[in-house]
Amino acid sequence: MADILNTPSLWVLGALVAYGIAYFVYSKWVDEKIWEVSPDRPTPAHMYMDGVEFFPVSRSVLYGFQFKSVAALGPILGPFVAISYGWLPALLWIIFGNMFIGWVQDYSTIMITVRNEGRSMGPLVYQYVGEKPRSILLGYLLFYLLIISAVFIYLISLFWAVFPGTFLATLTIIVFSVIIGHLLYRLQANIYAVTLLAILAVILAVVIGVKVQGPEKAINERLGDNAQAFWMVVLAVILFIASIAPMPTFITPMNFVSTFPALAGVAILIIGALVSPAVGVTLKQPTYTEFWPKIGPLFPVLFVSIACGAISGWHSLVSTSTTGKQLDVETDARPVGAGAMLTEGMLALSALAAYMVLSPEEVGAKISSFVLGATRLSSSYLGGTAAMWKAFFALFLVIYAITVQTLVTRYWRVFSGEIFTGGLSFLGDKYVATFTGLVIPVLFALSGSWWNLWIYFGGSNQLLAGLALMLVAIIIVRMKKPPTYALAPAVFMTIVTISALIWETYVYAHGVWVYLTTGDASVLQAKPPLSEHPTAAFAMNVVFVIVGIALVVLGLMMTYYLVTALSKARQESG
Amino acid sequence: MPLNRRLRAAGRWIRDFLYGALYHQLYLDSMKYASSYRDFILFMLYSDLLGAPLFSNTLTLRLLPYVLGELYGWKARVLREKDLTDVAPEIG
Repeated sequence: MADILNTPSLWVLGALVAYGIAYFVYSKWVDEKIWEVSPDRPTPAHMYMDGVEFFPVSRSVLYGFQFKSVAALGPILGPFVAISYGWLPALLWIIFGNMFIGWVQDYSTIMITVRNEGRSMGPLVYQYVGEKPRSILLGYLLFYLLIISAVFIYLISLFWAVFPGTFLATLTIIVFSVIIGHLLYRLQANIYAVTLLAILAVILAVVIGVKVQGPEKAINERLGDNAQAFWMVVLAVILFIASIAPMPTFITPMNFVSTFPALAGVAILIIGALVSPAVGVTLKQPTYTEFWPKIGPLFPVLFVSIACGAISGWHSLVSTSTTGKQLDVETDARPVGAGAMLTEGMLALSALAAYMVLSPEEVGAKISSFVLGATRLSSSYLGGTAAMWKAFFALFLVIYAITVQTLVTRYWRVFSGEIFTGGLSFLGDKYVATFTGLVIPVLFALSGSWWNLWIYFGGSNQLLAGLALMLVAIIIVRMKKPPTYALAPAVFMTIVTISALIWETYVYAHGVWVYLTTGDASVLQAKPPLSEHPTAAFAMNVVFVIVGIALVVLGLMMTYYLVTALSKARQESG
Repeated sequence: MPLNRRLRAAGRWIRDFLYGALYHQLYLDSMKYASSYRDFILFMLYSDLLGAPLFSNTLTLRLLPYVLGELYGWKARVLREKDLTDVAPEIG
């Protein structure tokens, strides 16, 4: 028994039982008693069927789609930050976050769309809270996009710098994606043939990642500390092209091709975690370290370090903008919304397992350590060389991240085109918007303070979740039903995330203050090459203080409006 | 339920799941891309249905039987209140 306890397997199985209770008991109760779902009530997919946005999709297809849409890099990278507190706090947060908050948000946001004529988040906020809060929400998303871009630009460039061969492997995928886009949309090639080509592209990319490392090694050695900055510029060029090119030529086929290694990687990780007792992979991380490690206090930082995987605000946008419009019958909302989220929790647990099997020295402060852990989990039961698995998982992460980033950069461009009007309309220009949407995050990423940015990212993402849950509570109150199941997590998430954002703003502000008073640049949150230029590092830290304040203020304003709308709804509903 | 029917159902579920995870996004993106062009053409031809006559003539009436099935969805799509959160990418 002690041997099994010393592997990730039993913990993952325990979490599965907890998720089973959440799904078969808790979500069923909410489904039947609060929402009183009925298969006979028409959904927007039927009422407004247009074959483009609104059309009914079977529950298993929609479940697959929802899972693929919500399970991105968050659940994989978050545990890396959270493991600073030991694996047990991270494990408990993934389990309980999912059980009481994660699925609640994903499921409920699908339901509010279904019950409100297929409206997405913005129009729902407008309808139930007001015009100003909708503008605040959009402003908030603007900052969020900058931060998520910085996080992913840093990550991709780091992987290109740390794992030679990964850039050429990525380039292979990109070239094949362009070819596949051409085959699909110009030549209308058979989808099975294109699928085969996509799988071949991934295999070829892994082979290239293993065999052709020389040129990138030479570049990285020659550039030293500046290698990552160099890769950032290369990445920015790729993202610029992706953002301005028509969707079918780049982003759509890239998104399609990247799904194959992503799904394969996810499946390999989950199975690896479950079979760990049979193959002798053991836990090497401490169960618990301390309340206040270098990264910050367990409360609130732990709760924002694992965002997606426990609870993610972006899911509410996915649920309301797409999934809710394609739900065939109301009774499908639970398997699709709750089911996909709880499955994503499994992915987060498997990613955590990949860190649990590494020693603290192996993890260190290196985000790239995920590749090492995933390689250990996979090669233990699938065989194969470590080099091959390293190439695969490095590519898996980079392709995942670059796909997300192309979408984010393009979304920023569309966003800018809509919100910058009047005298600022030049900022909405296609090229200017793409340029600013890349330069600002690259500057953020150059600071090298990835951990701090991750807390901003997690905090702002999950604050969005808190706000979405509060919106759900308002709608439930208007339905004259008890809102506690959504309101309690909404209050918890709002308090936790605003605390985390304040904490992180303080970290930057403290550095700025000490630098101003003593001239000590070592307290600034920056890494080489930026840390070698104290004035630039100082300026960047000031910018981060401003970003932090903006996020906190916008979050507080949004909370104020939502609480006001909630009390108004309570009064009006008696 | 007999075992072979259970297995068939499980097979169908896996097939649907994989379709949802691998191809549904591609389908949605393609439909949106195609509809952006189709919506524009329909707007040029039948904008009078929205109260903005731009190109109403006998040609639009001759084309009407070919696009009749699409007009309802098009009108609903164009008249629907749009928001930036409607086009939020699926990035988890």
